[in-house]
Amino acid sequence: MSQGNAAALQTQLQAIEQAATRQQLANASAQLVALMPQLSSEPELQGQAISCCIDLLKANNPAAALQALRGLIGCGAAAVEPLLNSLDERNYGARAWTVRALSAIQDPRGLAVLQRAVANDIGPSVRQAAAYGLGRLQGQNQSMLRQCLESLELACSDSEWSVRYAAVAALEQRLQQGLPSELDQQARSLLQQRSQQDMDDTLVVRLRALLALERLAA
Amino acid sequence: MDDNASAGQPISEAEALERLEQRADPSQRYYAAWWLGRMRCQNPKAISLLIDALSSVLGQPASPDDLMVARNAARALGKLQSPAALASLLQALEHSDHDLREAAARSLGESGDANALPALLETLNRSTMEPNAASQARLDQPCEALLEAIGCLAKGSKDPNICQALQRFCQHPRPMVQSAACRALVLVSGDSQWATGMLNLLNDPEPLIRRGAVLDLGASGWRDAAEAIAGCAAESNIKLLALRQLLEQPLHGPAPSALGSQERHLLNLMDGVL
Repeated sequence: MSQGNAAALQTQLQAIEQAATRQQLANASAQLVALMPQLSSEPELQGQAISCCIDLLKANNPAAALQALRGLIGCGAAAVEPLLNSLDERNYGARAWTVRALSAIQDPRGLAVLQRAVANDIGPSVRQAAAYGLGRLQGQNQSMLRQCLESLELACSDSEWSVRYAAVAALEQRLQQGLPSELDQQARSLLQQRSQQDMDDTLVVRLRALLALERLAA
Repeated sequence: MDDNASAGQPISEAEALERLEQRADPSQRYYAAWWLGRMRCQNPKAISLLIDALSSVLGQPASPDDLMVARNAARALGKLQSPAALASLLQALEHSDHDLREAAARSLGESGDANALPALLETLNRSTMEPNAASQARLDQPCEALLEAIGCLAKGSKDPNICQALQRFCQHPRPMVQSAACRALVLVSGDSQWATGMLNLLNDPEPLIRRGAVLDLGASGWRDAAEAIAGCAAESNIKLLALRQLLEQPLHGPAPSALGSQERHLLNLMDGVL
């Protein structure tokens, strides 16, 4: 079985390497990702597939990157270390995909990367993905929750509406999952602020905050 | 003066005005014109300098540098929404430079001034819609910008003459022009049957066209398009923006002031694309 998987993986990796057009690369990526669930019990093969997916995030080919993202999310915790080690400060596009993958995998080891992205990334869509991810990191560790809220407070005053929107959705997530009372207070008061016209000039952000408060009161 | 001054560094309003007023360095003027629009500068001196920069290329030969400054001035005047700019922007629609006409059309749309409609329609009607238009770098007229502006200014008017003029462009060889025409038709007629042209383009093999159709559907305000937008293979930030527009600027009725069932539904779809 392992032999068969190894051979199948080599075939797909080769197809990716030899893809001559953007469309071929996207198709080959999709085939690799379709194979990946079978590799989950074979760490070495899975590792090779993960590292190929991470390279695809850097290929400046959104269709291929979207496939690779799916593959990485499917690997869950196994993809976290490789993703953290792959961060490339100079490649904006790839960084956005990496942050998106870490957000979706919800592994608390992604915390520092998501925090840095919310605070410093020049790309609004990266800050947005990071803020959303901070609402979904697994675990109830107090120190992690405190750091999440610190970053979400920052994201709530971001100049870009979509980052504030993601932060509001993330705050609701954290509150739904339960927070220690002091942090609960802080999160609710951030939502209150976002719901008020003199605090946020974007209607859709205010309405999203109202929806969160309404659901939390129910 | 520092070397990178025109490379996007923060400057003050006074500095921007000074840079636009001087004539020695066109790249400084170009940046200053952009800056004043971006900052929504309401200083009357800014408006008069921008109008001067635009007027200086109208009705007389102009250097490429002056033309470059004039295009940015036209764009900035749209953002400042000054009624004083109307005459110059209308005159710019007649200019031989395609990109200046395009900038003027967009700014007239942003101005909210329905007095610009007859000139916009006339310019649009002049477009011949050549069969080989799909492969040309530039069309004979900036059709997308004109259609967009007409849609904004005639929203809800149901004017049959305008609708008729717009319908011709639903058959345009360029998909993005078709999409812009459909968007304008939905806005002007209030009739969602015209949205079909945009919905079809959501499945186009070309990502740029899918992206454009998503944004046009959002700008149409037709809320029934929300699911199709959310499900389109396009970047999530584009879909998020389109869904926001559906929520904030519905085709029928004013912006929502509270949460109704439609608003809740739209917000759930937005969460799904985050």
